[in-house]
Amino acid sequence: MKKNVLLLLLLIMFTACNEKLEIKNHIDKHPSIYPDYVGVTIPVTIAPLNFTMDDDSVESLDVVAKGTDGSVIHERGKNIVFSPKEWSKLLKTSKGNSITVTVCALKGGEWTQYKDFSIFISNYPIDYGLVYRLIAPGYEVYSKMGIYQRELSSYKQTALYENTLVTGTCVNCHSFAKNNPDLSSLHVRGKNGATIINVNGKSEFLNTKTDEMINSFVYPYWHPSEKYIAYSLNKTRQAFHVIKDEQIEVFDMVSDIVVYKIDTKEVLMSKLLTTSAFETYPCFSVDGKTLFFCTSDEKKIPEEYKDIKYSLCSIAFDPEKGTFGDRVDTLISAKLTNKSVSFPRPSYDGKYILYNLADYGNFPVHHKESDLWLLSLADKSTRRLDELNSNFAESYHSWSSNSHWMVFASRRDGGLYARLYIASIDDKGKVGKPFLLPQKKPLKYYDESVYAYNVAEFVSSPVKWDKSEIEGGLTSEERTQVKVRN
Amino acid sequence: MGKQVLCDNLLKNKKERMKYTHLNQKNIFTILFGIIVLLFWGLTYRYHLAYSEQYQMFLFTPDYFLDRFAHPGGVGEYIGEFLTQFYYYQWIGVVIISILLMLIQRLVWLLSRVIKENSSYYLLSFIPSIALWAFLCDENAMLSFIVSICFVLFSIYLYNKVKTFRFRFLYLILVLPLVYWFFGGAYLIFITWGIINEVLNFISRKSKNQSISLLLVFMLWGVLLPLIAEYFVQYPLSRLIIGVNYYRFPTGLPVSGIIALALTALMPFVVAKLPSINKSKLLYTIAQGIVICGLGVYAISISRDMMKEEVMHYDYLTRTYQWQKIIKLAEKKSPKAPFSVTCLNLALAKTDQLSNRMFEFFQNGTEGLLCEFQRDYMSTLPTSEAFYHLGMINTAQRFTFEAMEAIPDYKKSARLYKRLVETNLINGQYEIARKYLNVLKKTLFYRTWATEMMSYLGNEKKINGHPEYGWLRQILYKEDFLFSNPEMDIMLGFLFQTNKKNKMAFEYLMAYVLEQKNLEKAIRYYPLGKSLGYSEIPRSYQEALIYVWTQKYRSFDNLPWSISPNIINDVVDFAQIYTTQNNPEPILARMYGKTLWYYLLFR
Repeated sequence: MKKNVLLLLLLIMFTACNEKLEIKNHIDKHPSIYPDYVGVTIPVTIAPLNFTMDDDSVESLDVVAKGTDGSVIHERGKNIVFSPKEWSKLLKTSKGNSITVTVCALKGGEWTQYKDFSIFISNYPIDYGLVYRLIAPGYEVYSKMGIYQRELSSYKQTALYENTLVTGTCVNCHSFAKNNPDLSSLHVRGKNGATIINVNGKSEFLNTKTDEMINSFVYPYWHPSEKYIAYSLNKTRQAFHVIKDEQIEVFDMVSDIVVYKIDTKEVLMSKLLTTSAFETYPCFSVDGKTLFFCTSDEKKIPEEYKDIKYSLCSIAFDPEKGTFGDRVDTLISAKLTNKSVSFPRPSYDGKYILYNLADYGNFPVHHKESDLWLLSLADKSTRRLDELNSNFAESYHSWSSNSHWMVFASRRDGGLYARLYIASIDDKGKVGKPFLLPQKKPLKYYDESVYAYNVAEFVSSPVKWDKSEIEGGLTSEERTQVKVRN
Repeated sequence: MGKQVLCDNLLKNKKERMKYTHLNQKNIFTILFGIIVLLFWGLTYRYHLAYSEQYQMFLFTPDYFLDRFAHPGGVGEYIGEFLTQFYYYQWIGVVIISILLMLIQRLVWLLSRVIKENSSYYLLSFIPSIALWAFLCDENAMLSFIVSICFVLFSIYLYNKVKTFRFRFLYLILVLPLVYWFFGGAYLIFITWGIINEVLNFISRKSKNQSISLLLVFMLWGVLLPLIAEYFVQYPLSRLIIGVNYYRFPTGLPVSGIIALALTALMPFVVAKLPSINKSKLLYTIAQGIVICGLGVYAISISRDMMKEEVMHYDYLTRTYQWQKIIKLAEKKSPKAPFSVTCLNLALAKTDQLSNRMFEFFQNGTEGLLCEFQRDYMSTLPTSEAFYHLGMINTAQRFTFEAMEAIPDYKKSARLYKRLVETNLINGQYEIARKYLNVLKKTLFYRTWATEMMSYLGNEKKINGHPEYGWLRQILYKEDFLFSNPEMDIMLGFLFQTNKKNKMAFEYLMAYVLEQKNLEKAIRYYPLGKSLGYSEIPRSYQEALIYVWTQKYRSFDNLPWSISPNIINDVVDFAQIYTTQNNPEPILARMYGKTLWYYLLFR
């Protein structure tokens, strides 16, 4: 009897899975799915790109994803949730090619089939994961926030540090040496603030304010030798627009750049980087012999805030001696472009610098017009990455270890909550359509999330911060004082 | 034989009657206590409940529960928040608190009976509930504390129902960790109770080895549970021990909470172990009653804050647009707290009385009109309301968002989400409004509103046709600039210039400079309001104009404004008293305390 019941159940399941769709309509357009994964390029190890249609009239979806070798995965439901195992297998067998996705939607009892779309499977691997901050997109006050790690091959997100651990802290500006999680810098602000440098599991809690410097360390960037970290020093203020299409303006009252030498705890300064002009967003070249940064002429704030436009400049750096060159070169001139550069990020293969360009200012997330641009270091040509940009702000970005993937924050989903997009770039510089960081139920997840993504950095393996060590270090009053080298 | 049986029956009936009488008395005391609690909260303190309700947003989603479940005390927190949402109707909240406090009293009594029946001290079992009542008088005390204590007491009660040692041991091993994870720091009641109980059992030579075993489990779990939890969650150990979310601020329990916790843990033993009273029971009961009532009154009177209750009352009326009630409340007793004065000034503006009546009430400068932004979750609320009604929507949105982000326990607020829906709708940010509405649709008391509001998204005609949203859209700033608090008058001036029908902008502009005592600016801005069609010059402006006139001229001939003869007479009288009396202030307060002149000279 039990055997018969089991057989009957199997028969019902089999029949259900193989129920042939009676397609009543064909639409020669791609389906309007959320997230928009039509034509994206993805790495082979990425978690399943689940999606749905944000349309209440859709009762169900039927999706078939087919690999180039003919292997197929099939899912049905209001929310398409691919089996991770089947997905992974499909991608592996289609590596370097594409999968074809057929979507049918059930509306009013009738099935409609849309035009097939492709998802390209890149040959280039991607790093283990991302590290980012999650924070509500507010103004000056913050509530719960934290630094989180997300494994890209799954939906697993773990908290590395949350500000419930040490009350009242604000964390940001996490940075890793070429995506190596064993070398990190993290700022913690508030009563128990410190800059935490973690080198191979050992943490040091620094007090980075000295009499010679205008402020503590802010925006970090590791030197490729792992011996130095470049920091900007910023006194940042916010101001608030009154009209409906604008929100916040962030500017530096003063800013300078220094380089921190880790082993000696010395701060290296150059007169050319600590002028009355606004120097910020330092980053090193791949060979470590050039320091790139953004700079703007000093302006009256807030009266002249729209005239603050940053150029992309460079200065030589000698890693052996820890000294700077004696002149500053301009790569992208704010005067010539009449635009403002921020967040320059050199690719690790030495080919490009990815940066933001906005009408003015240095905080692109609040500038709707802010776009991603690419500077080719070979011929110094620049181009706007129209494949990546939208009508909303694109802001912070970073490179994967092999320089074939970029992650960037974009406010295209509604205009306020920044989400993460990942895009590929091949050897020829061709950029693929970006895809939204996948989630198990993306519509529900992103709709319900009250946080924006900040400062997404790739990491090549899991971060192993010891939260007890962090808590203990922050709550103790002991700090290592940095000193300026004479 | 028949007589013996009759006597036995009579005796049995008498015992049962006595037992029934005692039970009735206990019930009466409990119900009486519940009624007193109900009356206190319902008649004198219910706006604290409205305040609590607005600083959370209970969602009927699995993720909401899972988020709570992810840390110790989460289930207690979840149930506490579930119940707190009913504070939307304050009297329901009042009933909930009353029931919970009665329940705790009965559980404390039941636990004392488990140790030893000692009905002579029944009234002492009310002490923990009174202590918790005092704790709840703090607006930052969370209901999750009370809920958690209820469940912990019940779990102790169940533990005592388990009679065999083996199952008791298993209960402790398995259930106590669950109690900790579900209800958090209140587990310390169970630990304290268990340790004392087993020590007493040991001393009384009842099953010594078993007592030692159970004692060890209590002590080990007492220490280990928070340490184990620390591994899984990101909270400091101190909060994992004393409770994560019993208090709105992440500083742990205040002293009142710790006292309540200790009293709850210890009172069953105190009640059980006090010597029984066999004579003059009534007298002792009355004496206990007097002492406990006295202590209770004292505890509640030092714990309650009627000043805050007044502020919360004003906040509630402002939030619900009950302008006339605000004014009536102020007419009974003029508020002094800047928060309340801000609400009052807004109510006066909304009922077209600001320019005539503002100085009839206590004014504390511009902080009682449009206070400067402060990084807390309370003080910016009435200012955000004022900015909203003025049409400074970006600023209203900022103040609202900041107030929500400043909530100390990191919760979200349904009230503030509602306002953010409206500001985003007016600003045409429909996707953001939709996001907030999708969340509000998952609440109990805001879902209907949220569902209705969905129809406004992208519907320009409907929004523009709405009496409030359409109007606010008309008066939005058209040209951009950066908000500057020191230049509030200029911003208000720009606002009025953007739409000269925005009477409130003009009146706030005038009110602002008058509050600043800047009569030069008042005279300069006053002509801007000519287009508003006043039938006569508002009283405050007349007072300002005539005051300025009297500084320059001796006679009222050739007055360029139409000032009422009464006001002219009053200013003459005022000046005379001011200049001739040694201590004119009390006289002027009595006669002219409700004028601008008094404010200018004495506030």
